[in-house]
Amino acid sequence: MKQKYPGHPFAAMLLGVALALGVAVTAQAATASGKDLVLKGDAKCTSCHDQDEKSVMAIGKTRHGATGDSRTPTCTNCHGDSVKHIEHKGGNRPLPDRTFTKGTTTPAEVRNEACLSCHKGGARYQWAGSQHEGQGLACTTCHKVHNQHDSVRAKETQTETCFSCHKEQRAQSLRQSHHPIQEGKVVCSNCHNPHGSSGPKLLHKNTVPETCFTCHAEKRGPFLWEHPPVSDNCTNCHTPHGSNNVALLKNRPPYLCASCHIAGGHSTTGIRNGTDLGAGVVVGGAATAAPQMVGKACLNCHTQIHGSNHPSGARFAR
Amino acid sequence: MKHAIEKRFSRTVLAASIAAIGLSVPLVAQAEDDAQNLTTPDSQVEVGVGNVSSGSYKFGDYGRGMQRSGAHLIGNARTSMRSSDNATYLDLVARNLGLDSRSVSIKGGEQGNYGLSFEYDELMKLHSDTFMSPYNGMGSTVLTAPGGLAAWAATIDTTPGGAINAPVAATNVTSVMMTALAANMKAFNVSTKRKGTALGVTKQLAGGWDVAVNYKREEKDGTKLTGAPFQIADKGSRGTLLAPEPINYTTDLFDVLARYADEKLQAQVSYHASLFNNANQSLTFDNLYYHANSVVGASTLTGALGQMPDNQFHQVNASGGYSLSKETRLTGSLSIGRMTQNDAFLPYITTAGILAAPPVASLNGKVDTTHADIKLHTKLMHDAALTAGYKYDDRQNRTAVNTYFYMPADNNSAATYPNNATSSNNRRNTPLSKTQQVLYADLDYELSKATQLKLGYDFDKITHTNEPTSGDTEHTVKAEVKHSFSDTASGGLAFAHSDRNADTYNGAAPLFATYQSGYLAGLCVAPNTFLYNGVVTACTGVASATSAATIPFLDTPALMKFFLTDRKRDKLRAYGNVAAGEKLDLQFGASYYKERYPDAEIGFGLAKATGWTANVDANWAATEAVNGMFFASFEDYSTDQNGHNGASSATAPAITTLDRQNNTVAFDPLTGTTVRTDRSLTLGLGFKVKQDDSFDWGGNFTHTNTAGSTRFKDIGSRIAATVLPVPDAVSRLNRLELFGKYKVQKGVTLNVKYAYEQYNSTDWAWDGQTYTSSTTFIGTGMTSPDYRVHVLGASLTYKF
Repeated sequence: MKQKYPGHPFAAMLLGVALALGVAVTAQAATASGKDLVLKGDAKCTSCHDQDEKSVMAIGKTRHGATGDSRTPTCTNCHGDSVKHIEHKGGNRPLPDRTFTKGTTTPAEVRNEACLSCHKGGARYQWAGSQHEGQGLACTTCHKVHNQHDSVRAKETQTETCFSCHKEQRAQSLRQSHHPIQEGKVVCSNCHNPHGSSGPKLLHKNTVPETCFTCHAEKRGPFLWEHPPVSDNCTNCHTPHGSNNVALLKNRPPYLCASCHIAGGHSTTGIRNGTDLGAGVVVGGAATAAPQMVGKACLNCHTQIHGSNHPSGARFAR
Repeated sequence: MKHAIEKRFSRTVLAASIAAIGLSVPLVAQAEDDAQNLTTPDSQVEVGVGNVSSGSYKFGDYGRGMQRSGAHLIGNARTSMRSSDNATYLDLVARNLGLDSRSVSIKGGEQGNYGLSFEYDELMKLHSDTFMSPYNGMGSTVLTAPGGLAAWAATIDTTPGGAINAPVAATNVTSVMMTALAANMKAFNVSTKRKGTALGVTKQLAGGWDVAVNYKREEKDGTKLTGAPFQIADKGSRGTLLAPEPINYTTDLFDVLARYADEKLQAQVSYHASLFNNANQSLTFDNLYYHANSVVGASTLTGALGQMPDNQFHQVNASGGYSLSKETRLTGSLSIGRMTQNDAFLPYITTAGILAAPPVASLNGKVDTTHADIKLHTKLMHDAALTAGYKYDDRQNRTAVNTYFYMPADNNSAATYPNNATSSNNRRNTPLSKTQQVLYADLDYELSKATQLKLGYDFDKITHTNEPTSGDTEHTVKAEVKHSFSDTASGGLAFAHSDRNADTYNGAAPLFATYQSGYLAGLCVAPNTFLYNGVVTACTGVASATSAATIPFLDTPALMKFFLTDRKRDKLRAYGNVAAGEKLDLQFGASYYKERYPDAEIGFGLAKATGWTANVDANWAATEAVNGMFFASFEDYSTDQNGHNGASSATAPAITTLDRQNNTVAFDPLTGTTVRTDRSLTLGLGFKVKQDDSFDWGGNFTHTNTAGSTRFKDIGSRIAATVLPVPDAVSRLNRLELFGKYKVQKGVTLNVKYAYEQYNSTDWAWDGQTYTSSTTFIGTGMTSPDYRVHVLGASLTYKF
């Protein structure tokens, strides 16, 4: 007698195929049965957004994807419960409650709430009422939360973000005298806190000199002989983002110095002009060039212009 | 009829099914791999070789580190590891490992628990590779004249008509001497290198607290160019040159902070210390000029420059923010700091036994700083927000005041610099203190969904000591309107006006603080009097036909220092954004500002500063695979300085210090105005093509053109005949960059990069000047940078 198998004759084959297909789609459709792919509780999102479109899954590459950190949010913490988006059938699916892409209709204030609910402290405690907040910027205007490398936080790429608005600073950073900004060694956030600060121009430090002394501590003193514009504000003479003049000066010596000193011990020298460059440079010039005009001009002698600690350094020459 | 399957066939079906399962396992694994690839951080390492066609300090300046021609290693790495089981992580970024701009950053820890960080960074500042000097010992703190000073003095002896101690004219002596120096010039590259090493620790504590400790040491070594003035002849005449000053700085930075954060309150307290140490106290240099008191064989003259002294800064900070409600937030901070400096003084002059020691061995300088601010931000209603605050910054210089003896340069004889009651060489230090207070309020108002209005007001009050004014106040009003014309077009207009009013300007006030009364009395004519430290003091000068000074004054009357005097400032800014279709974004911007200094306009000094800028940006996404960008920026910055031309003592009538006031012969009301203008044009063009999944390529072109011009206007008759034009100082940069990335196989990419940079510049301060162009400034031979450099690089990137 032939052994008979109960049920449909193709049952075994279908079972096998079903098993095979079932296992095969496990990874992709696991979320259909409620399995999270990246974040705790992300299944309701990753059941659809399980590919790399809009870098959804890439959140796993970032600090926001560290599920071992109990503070790590899930999709809906930032994007909202988005019930209509999830439950909608058919076309014209409504967007999630909060979206962050370019051209979003989600107000900046609402977008920022998503970030500030966790990141209100530290460097961001002054965000409310800051210049960038007042200009309607959102955190995601600058930050790419789903990218493994948030370009604004990397030295070599930060200026791409800042210069997209600050065009004048971009141009200045390409001038012959500049901080190593284009070279990626000094970046905007070395001096500025874009999230708000107590200092002027969103500086990290309370004053301009305090900011500059972070890297230029030798100019801090206090010196025996102080040069008033130096202790007042470095930007009296310097422009920090780039200049046509040496040492980031707003004007070139001797004319910069002549803003405040037109006589003093050099009253016989008058208005510096081509005559002072000497006959070798300007036809009809003086037989010898004036040391106050060539080389580093006034600084050929008054070299300790940021202050002197020499007991005979009252005129910053020693 | 019953269907029956043969056992044999049944086994086949089951086997096939199992096989199907078996086949599906790789698919499952593949799917899991895909998911893992999408969520696991990438790491990559890049190794290759680059070649620079020719060396240039200007090209290699700062971070690029490519100042030498030849091959260099391309080495970059970026690895990121995150545990899938817990929150531990390790990130490493290494850049430019084969160049002098290398950096390494390592961060690791357990997110939400603790973090450790290490950073190392190098930065070169390349000042000059065309510098020349006759000194021996360049790079050290002791610069000596080649062949000894006696040999140079022997040259002086050959000066026509001059013996060593009695030259006919100093200029004859120095001309001859400097000609001799020119033959001994030696090349020396001037540069500095910073090496920064930083360590950091963070720890998350319970209850919303976390703490962080950061330490950074930065070492800066190398040389910079510094002025080295000498006495040429007795009193008054000095010569100078630029010498390489050795740099050996160490700065240690410490930061310790504790932070607290909950839903409403965020606060932190911190301590910051910055300790600066200079291994060199002075730079000494042999006198390369003749000096009457530098007697050959008896004592040679060596100059000494005081280098930047060691100093420290300590500061404690407290700051925080509290959300009073969802609409209202209060923030504030308080910082108290102290700057100190107590490096030992150098002697007045290098020659011992001539002058007494300074009154104190070191300054014991102290400056206390205080900062406090408070800010309130609130939403007044749905469409209006107010931000108002107050800031207080105080710098109190508590350094002791003493009288020091002023010697303009090292000198073997103090006889010509008298030390008595009427001497101008007794000088008191004048510690500078300043207090600044700012009140501000900004209102943001939404006129409509499409239009926002911003209004603001700032009140700024400054007081200071030992300055020509006791302080000033400044009012600023601001307004800005932003409007969205459509979903694709928006723009705005902003305006600000500031009006600064300084207290009564007395240019002589700082002089009164530093000179002794006997000297000042001689600067005005009897029977006038002046108030000196509250004491009525009689003038002792003798009136003459050209001298009638009523108060002591050393500088030009009516000279106004721009950062202390009245100022009116206007700023105007306009901007617009247009999305011309889905593929093209355009941005436009322009700004204008004008600063006027009314007192200087009718007097002397910086009278006006104006500037305007314009820029346009275009970003073009031609297809999903091709995009490009273009930008152009232009800036014009101009200043007017009112100056004069005091007649020399050789001019009749002779002009002396006493004549510097009320002497219309010596001081024309306005001898002329110097107009300085800097113009810059910057252009950028770039494109990027994603050819297919395996090939990306693109390029960028940058052009910058700058010109600094110096012109003169309203030149008075006194000097009209002698004023000659100054050439423009220009620079021109062209940079072309091309790159290609070819995916050789999964995870491996071949990168090829080519860059060409051309730079031309001229600067009258250096170009055309020889070692002997000036008899009181020894030239350096330096020239403006000019280069054409090709860089070619090829590398492989392995991504894992």
